[in-house]
Amino acid sequence: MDNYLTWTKGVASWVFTLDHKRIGVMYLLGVLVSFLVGGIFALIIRTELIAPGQTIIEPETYNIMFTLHGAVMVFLVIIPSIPGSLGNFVLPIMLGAKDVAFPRLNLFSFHLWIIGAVFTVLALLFGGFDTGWTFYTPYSTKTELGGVVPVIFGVFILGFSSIFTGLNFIVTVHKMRPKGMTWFRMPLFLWALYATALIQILATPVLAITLMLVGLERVFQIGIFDPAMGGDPVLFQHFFWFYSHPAVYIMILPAMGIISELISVHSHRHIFGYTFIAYSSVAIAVFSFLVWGHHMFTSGQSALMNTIFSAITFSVAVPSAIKVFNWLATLYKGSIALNTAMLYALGFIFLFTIGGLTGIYLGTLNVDVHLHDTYFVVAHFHYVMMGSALIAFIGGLHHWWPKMFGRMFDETLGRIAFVLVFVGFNVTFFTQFMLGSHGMPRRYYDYQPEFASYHLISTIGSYVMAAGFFLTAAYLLHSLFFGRKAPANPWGGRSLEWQCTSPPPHDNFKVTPSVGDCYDFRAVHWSEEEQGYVVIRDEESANLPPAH
Amino acid sequence: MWLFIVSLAMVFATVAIAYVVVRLQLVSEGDWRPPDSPGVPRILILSTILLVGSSGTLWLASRAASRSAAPAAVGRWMLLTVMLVAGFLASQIAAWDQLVEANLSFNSSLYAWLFYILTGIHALHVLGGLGPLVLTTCHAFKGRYQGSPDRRRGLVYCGMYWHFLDVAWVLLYALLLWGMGG
Repeated sequence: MDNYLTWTKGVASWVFTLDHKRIGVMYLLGVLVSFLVGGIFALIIRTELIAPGQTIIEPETYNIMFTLHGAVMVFLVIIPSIPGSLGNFVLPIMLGAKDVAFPRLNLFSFHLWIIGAVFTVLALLFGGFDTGWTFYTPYSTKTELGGVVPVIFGVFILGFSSIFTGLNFIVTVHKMRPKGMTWFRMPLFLWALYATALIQILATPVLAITLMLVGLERVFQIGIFDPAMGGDPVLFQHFFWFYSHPAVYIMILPAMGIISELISVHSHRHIFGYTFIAYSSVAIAVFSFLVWGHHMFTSGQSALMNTIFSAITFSVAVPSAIKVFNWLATLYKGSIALNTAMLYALGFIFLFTIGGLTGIYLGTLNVDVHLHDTYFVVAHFHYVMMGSALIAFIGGLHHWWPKMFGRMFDETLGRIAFVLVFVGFNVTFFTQFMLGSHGMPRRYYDYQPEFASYHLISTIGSYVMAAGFFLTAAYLLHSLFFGRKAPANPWGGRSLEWQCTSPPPHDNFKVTPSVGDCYDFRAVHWSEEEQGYVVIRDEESANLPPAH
Repeated sequence: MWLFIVSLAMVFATVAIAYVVVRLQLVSEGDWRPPDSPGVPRILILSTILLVGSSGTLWLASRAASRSAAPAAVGRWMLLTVMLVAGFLASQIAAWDQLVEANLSFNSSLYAWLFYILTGIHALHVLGGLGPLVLTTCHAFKGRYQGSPDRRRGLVYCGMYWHFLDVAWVLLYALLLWGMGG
């Protein structure tokens, strides 16, 4: 049967496609390759830190490695991962639309992403850069390594890619909803992507212009950020975090959206507190703009400013906790299927709770002064960035993999890989909480002997995690060629993407789909014939009282 | 389109905040204005008149279109807009030239650097808008904006962008007058 993968053939039909699904798949490929590269950097860092003193690389190389690891993972992996790949693929189908509002802009933003990624890699050829992924001045204006300007230019372009994607999603959600798809019938993943897009549009320009100023400052040796030239480095930090804190929510909000889908579908239970989850996404987006100062408690802000930022930071915990409790309430009395995707969702709740709660520690002023720039911070944001955002991405990937490629992967291997990743992750990063509270500073090449056993454990954990990810790559690739053909609805989902075939046809729907409550699973039944779920609509189930 | 404008506004707001912060800091250190440097170039008054004028003629063009005037009438207003904008860019170059003449090249001091950054970013956006503006003018002459409001959308969006740049300029100019005075 004809589907989007076989619609047209040839490399050009992919590179210049306007089909949101193909663009999504290309993003996926780019993100996964970047993830491999960033992951290799991480393994090099952890191997270097396995014992005190020099192990495998020079101190200068180490600085370049952790900077590249941060920059690649943040700008090339986590930020585009969910919106760029899964979002692009799923958003229009979930909405019941044929494509996004501006398909050409969508393709353009993917091409920008590629160009940005190329510049980031070029930075390596120019000698790399060792500023940390935050490009703090005066490091970024003073370092002798030549890669700073290319990478800044790369991130500048990636910013445009991100803005255009956000713009596209907002307009799509506003204009392309078919009849019957009201705001409050939209799957929660779409609410999350919408809130994310708002942040992308408002915060990213600030990063773009700031980085451009840094680049000019470096080239012309005059500017406003380097104190030696009369500038103000704290100003840079304000601008940087005004983008980069909201950027944290660019990473986590879509992840939360995925979890809302996964939890509900795999426990065959109506999502609990739909409107609360929807509004809390928007609330998080709004709060995200008011908390950037909590990255700068030790940068010499006034005590009043610090207190205000600290207080607003606490308030982010409220919408986050609302989501967590709603997910837990959804699980209650559900018929939970422990599929690989669901395991990742449950893992997310566990890891996000740890990551979120340690965020409260760090948002507390006096605690932060002690923990600032230690491994505690490293552990905290890895729990949120990787343990939450990336784990949700992997979970979503398993959830939509059959839809994207029309093949089922091996569930047993999937579960084994999840256990490896989950255990490896906790061994790696929970140890770092202890390191940090004992005073191990982040980014250091060498350390005191008393930290050695913690570092050793952490490194072993990272190897276990890597094994899990390589196993995942292996069985996913294997499934592409040898996997069982996927039914239209393997998990029993109710949202619109499960109503079209796997993989979807070129223009998504042959007939305009009928929109119902996308979390009402009573009409979803297992069919032996299809080896998947089917939605059976009859008068009786239509007249039943709502589940909640 | 509104989203696009808001997004752009964030760019200008960032640079403006940077300007204010750096200026306040340097003034308090007595290290802001280099001795015997000129203030804001006079010619910027002309720039302001030209840009505000272009915003006005664009408004007239879109009014003419909404009253279904002949394509040539709409086109003439558009052409005038393009000329005013070109004049604005020329006056900007003249202003930069004046400063360079006064030994205030862009990397001599932060005082000059910030002037170039602020006006430069704005000028780049004007330059970027010039292409679509010329295109819109051609469309206007061909009568592309005749008829239903739906067909005038290109003209309306062009106008929104232009009025935005106009407002941004007036605010930047006020900022410069304050910043480079005292």
